[in-house]
Amino acid sequence: MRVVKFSPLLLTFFLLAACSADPEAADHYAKREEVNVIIEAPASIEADSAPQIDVKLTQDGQVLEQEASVHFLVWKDDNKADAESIPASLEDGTYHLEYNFPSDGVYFIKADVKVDNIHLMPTKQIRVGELTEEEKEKILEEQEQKKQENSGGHHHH
Amino acid sequence: MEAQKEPSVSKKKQRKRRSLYQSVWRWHFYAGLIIMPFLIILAITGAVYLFKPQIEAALYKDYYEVTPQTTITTPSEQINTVEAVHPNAAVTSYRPSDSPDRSAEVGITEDGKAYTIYVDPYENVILGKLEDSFKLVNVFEKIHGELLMGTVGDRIVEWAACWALILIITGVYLGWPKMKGKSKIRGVLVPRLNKGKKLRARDLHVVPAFWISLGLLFLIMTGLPWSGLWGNNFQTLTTNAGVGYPPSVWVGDAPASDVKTKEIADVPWSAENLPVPVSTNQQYTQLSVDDVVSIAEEEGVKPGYNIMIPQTQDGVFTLSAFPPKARDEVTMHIDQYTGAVLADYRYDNYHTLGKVIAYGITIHKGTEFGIWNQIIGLLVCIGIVGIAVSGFILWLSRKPEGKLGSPKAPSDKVMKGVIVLIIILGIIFPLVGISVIFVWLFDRFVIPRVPALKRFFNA
Repeated sequence: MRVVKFSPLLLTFFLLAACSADPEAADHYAKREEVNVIIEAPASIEADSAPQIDVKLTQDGQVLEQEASVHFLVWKDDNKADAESIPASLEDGTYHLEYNFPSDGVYFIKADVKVDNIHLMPTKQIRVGELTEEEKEKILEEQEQKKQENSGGHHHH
Repeated sequence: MEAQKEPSVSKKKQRKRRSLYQSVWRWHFYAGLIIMPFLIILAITGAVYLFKPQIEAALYKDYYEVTPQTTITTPSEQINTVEAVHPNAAVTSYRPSDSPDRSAEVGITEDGKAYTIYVDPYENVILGKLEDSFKLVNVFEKIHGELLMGTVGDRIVEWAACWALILIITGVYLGWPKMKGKSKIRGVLVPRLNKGKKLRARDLHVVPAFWISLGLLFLIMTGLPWSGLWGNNFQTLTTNAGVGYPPSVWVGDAPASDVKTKEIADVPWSAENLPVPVSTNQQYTQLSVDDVVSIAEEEGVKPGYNIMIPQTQDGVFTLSAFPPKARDEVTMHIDQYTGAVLADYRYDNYHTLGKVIAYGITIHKGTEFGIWNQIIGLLVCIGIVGIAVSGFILWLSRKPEGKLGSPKAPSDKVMKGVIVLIIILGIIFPLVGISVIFVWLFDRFVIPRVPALKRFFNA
């Protein structure tokens, strides 16, 4: 009987094939077009200045040639509801934010990017000037609290 | 027939057939006796689980139903409300309301336990909290899937399901019609109720078993892809080969969020969404759940999905929906920093086997075809309990006689088929293969040497 002869081979194959998901398996299935986005900002920003803040779009390591629709939302601290919407100015494939940070503190810059049916919306948090002692203390306190609660497990479907 | 020409050879052949028939009967008996309790447990818990939607809608009415109003709060506001009440919990998931009169759900883990919090999205108040592992239907599901025994239980269920296949195969052989012509179907497709007690007991097992076996076979084949050992391997093989589910729907890894710069890597990840850590100047923040919901809308995902919130630095938001109908399934992975859709797997993106398994699962769960799916599922469950019990009664009714009845064996062809099928099953299902070898050794070497066993098994 053929089946009997090959059964140890098949069984070994089956057991060996066990448990190893192929990281390349996704190549066999539907893929989405990918555009990468980064927000570049200077290492230090002073209040009442207009620093150079850019959004760069790339695809497969190359600057994206296609023009995207980009606008920024800028807000301070938790005041997201009052965010200012500022359209980006395009120059040499780079999208600039022209904004004057009025005072020291923690700001958020959200770039809203649309190319075809791709919609990206990274938010970067930046520090302008010096933080007050109060702000620093609050940060440390919240970090400590977050650390404790995040010691939990990893969620998996 | 042949018997008249060469009586001695034919007699020998018949004896051989008779003894084969008896060993198949013994195998049917072993399999039945061992897995009967498991089949009954699976059938009962499965029958309850079939009606999960109705049971939960009734049990959690107060948590589910809300009164629609003109203004609605955002998901992040609802999550804030939950965080305010459970300051030490980690928020793991959010399920937007899927109809105007249904609450939203926030999943949290607190002290290592998972809870679901139901929130009225209009009033932004918490309606109630349930511990996931204590939800009634989840308990039934856990018994159905692993007998409340974790991995060991999962393997037992898988093994019992595979042995049920052997029961079906040996049962078909034993019940194979021996008479020719019209009476063939009697005793297999239609019971003989007025031909004496013995035949009635037999037919009340064999006839329903024949019909129920079709349903049982379906439930086993559609349930096995769920199992921990065989199912996982099967899913991995089909996914890797590009013929099944895309990775991460069942097995395989989700893509990772692009951890852009060392700005993120340097900071303890748990600092997400907090003001700039003192040590660095800038960093990307995690997308708000509001953004994820709007992406879902843009991508045409209908409400009824769940959003898994990333719990690691390179984790992703995973949006998943496993609604009643297989063709509406969605698994979508979203970069937690940029909102980029890294993978979007709908039913249409499953390859052939994946589609088949998906339909198998929704029919197995009784959701694909609405109430009729549930009713037929329930009937099969009742039938399984029925044939387990009638099989036991049949065995009891024959045991005192110490005889098997009249084993008129069908042709050698059928017998060979049974053996080949069992060997193939043993190869496809390693748990069956291993236990078949043990039972065969027991049957071949232990029983003939122990007189009491020999008598008991009528070997």
